[in-house]
Amino acid sequence: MISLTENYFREILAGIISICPKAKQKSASKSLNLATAWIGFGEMEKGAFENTSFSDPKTVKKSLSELIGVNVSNSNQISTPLDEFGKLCELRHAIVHSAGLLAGKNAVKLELPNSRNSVKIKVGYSELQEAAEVCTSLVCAVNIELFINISTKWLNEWPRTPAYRDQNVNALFKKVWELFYSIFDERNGLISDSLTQIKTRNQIVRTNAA
Amino acid sequence: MVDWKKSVSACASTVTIRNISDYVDISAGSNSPIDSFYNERNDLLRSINPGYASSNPSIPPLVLV
Repeated sequence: MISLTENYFREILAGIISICPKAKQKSASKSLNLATAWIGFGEMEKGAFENTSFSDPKTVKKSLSELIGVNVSNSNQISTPLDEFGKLCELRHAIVHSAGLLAGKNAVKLELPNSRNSVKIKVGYSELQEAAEVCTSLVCAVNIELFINISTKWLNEWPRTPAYRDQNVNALFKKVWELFYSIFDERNGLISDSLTQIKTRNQIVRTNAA
Repeated sequence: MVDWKKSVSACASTVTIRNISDYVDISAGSNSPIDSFYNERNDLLRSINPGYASSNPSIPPLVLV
């Protein structure tokens, strides 16, 4: 579950880099392994995150801030689910690296009480469901915040860049939409304010992305 | 003659991986990143139910990671 969340971060950041000239600018000095040219070369941008572990809230915050300019703070919806995700990452560390035995420093980070004996991770069905909700909540929050950020750049910043100056802005918005839009959420009635791509685009223009 | 060096545990087998390609598949990713997450998440959660989780307590932590 946690690695799926990590992969979401890789895919969404790679997708943004591939379409946003501002993110391209900020990521241009990132290194790629030559092997990316041979395996997975259809998604070259994703290779920029091969050596990045997103199972750490600090890395998530740093990447969102440095590449996109989204700062995780109490004023946006990412902060709380990211804190909860951080707790799951401490558990993950124990499961992956020490057969489920929680190291002292990880236990302290989780503010667990002192214990004479070692502490073992015990995840049952309901804990797994709760963890899945935490990961989903984080992915949903990040998807919305990044969509708002990139749509605002599409409106105000992209048309002024040499890369997109004479481009069809509607075609560019389609790329933004396809990167963030969830068919799953739409089919399951989970989108709170459901609009078509064109109506969304028109509303962004009419409200100046407010 | 009995070898004391082999007296504490089983000896290692000489197994090798027959074909590493059998362990991988080409990923066909065409969904948006959030839908890829949902699809994989749903596949994972469908693979386990409350009865299975309580009879196999070592599995849910592996699903979590």
